[in-house]
Amino acid sequence: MEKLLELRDLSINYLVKDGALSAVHQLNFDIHRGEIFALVGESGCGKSTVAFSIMRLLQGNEVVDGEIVFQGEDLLSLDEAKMEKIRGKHIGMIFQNPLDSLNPVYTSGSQVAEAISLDEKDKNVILEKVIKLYESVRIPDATERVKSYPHELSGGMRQRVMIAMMLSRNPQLLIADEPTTALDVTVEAQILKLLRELRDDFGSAILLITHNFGIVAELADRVGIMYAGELMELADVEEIFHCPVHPYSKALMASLPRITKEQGRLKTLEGTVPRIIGEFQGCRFSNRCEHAIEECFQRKPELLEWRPGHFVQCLNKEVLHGD
Amino acid sequence: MVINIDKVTKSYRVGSGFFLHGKKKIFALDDVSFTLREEEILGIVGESGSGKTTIARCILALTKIDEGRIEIQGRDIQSASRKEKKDLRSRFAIVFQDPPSNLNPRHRVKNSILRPLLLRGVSPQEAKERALEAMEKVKLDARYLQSFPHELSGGQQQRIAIARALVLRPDVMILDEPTSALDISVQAQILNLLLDLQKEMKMSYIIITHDLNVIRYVCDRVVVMYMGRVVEMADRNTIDQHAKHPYTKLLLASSPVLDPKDREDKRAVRWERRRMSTSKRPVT
Repeated sequence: MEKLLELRDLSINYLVKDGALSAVHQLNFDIHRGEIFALVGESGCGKSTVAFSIMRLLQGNEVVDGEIVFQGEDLLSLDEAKMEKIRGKHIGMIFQNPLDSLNPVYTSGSQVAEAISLDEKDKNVILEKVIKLYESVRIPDATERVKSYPHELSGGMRQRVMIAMMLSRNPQLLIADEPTTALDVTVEAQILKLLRELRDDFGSAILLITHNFGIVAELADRVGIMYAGELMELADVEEIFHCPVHPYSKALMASLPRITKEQGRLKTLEGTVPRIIGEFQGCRFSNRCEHAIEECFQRKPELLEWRPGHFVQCLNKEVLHGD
Repeated sequence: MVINIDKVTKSYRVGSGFFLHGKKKIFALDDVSFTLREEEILGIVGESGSGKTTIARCILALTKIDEGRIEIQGRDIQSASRKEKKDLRSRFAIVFQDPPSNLNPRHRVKNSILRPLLLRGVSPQEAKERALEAMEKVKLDARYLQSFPHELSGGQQQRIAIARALVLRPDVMILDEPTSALDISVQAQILNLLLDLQKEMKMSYIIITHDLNVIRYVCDRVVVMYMGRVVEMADRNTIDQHAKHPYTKLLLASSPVLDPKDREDKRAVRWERRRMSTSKRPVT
């Protein structure tokens, strides 16, 4: 499949008081056209930092290394004017809390219209387009709803407006950072369905950033599991759920509440994510890993292809080749 | 039976403008009845606005009800005297959704845990012992008593909130979305901890959540609420496999699956399959 986005050895360090905090370390993965790629991990693993670095929206107190290649162009080497053309037009982004992304003093429709007006000048055409977009994201009574202010809309409707705004410019890649965290389950299901339809109807690729494995299981085609700024495992969604290889992925899968208390107990993962400042020796998961061998504390493992399309970053041969 | 809720109605007056001010009523709870039994874990599910948090507030007599009766261990809480209410409340503990709202950011953890005890006239010496005991129960090192909440991780903060609830040795714990702000591996730790404590201390729980996967794991019985009403109430397996009310069915169908094989398009098959697999699976 054709690659849309490639991350090559992406490292991001935040400059903090006591040195350089390693948030993302030598990250490599591709997103293909029309696929839904989920980047999963626990809070603080660097997944949102990756999303913001692709949009070049980081705060400025960080050092970014490596390449983010989008359609053959390294985004990190573009000047701000060129990057501005890519944002929205080629890569769209929706955030966790849509209320933070919408201006409370303008009608929701006018904010979507603003996005369209970058490409289109005729006011009537713009309004028509906005209404069409509202309909395509299944906002009922679209002609009236374009006049609503953000506070008059429910959480689900606001997220729909955000998706409509993002759709208005028809980007090839959509980055969804925890798109449904603030929403109720029934609304969440509707938004997930909408995202899936987006991909099916418009062929947009989606980079889904989440810590919720339910959403991953519902939506993703491929999954990257992040831990402490590195990818531990990358595979098709079914592989990740049914035959995870890396000890961290296995531990996560075992901690999902998929049973009842009578059927057994959830496995837990002891310890905490290390805060890495400066150089780090060995595997970042080694201090919590049941299968850690001596080598794990000395050498950084590489993300290697374990089986076609299934990549694992682990040094222990027994983990990789045992049963 | 620990708590008996009988036909409870609670409305809020809303409406704006000169003529309509306070003239409209919104029913937060509409004819709600259910019971909590001894040593039972009862789940309350529903979406935002369904009244699930209001019912918790009514049980603790933090909110007055319009009609109906809430009996706690045989005593009517709403008509109880101040002293009686205080006494009844000490048998209850509540743990809120996000840890920061349980703990005062400017107080050391120690103060937050000791305060409810000292307020009830427990001697400082005994209070300290009970705090240490509670810390042990939630499997946290005693040195965290000296920390401030912001120095702790989300999971640790939630453990502290539980420890704080435990010091009063309550009969009932009300847990409002106890794990929704936590990461998946931490969620598993907290759920296991809650299950252990419930067995050990013979408590009853009311767990308020929108996460059906959590409900399925920990609860014995489930109350499904919608727009202030109880639409379905049954034991967990019945809700899970033979839900009758269309809203319960919608909730089940909307709830994210934890297996990519069960995606929406395969859902119809999934119900059948799970019913079969759960009946065959050995109980451990």
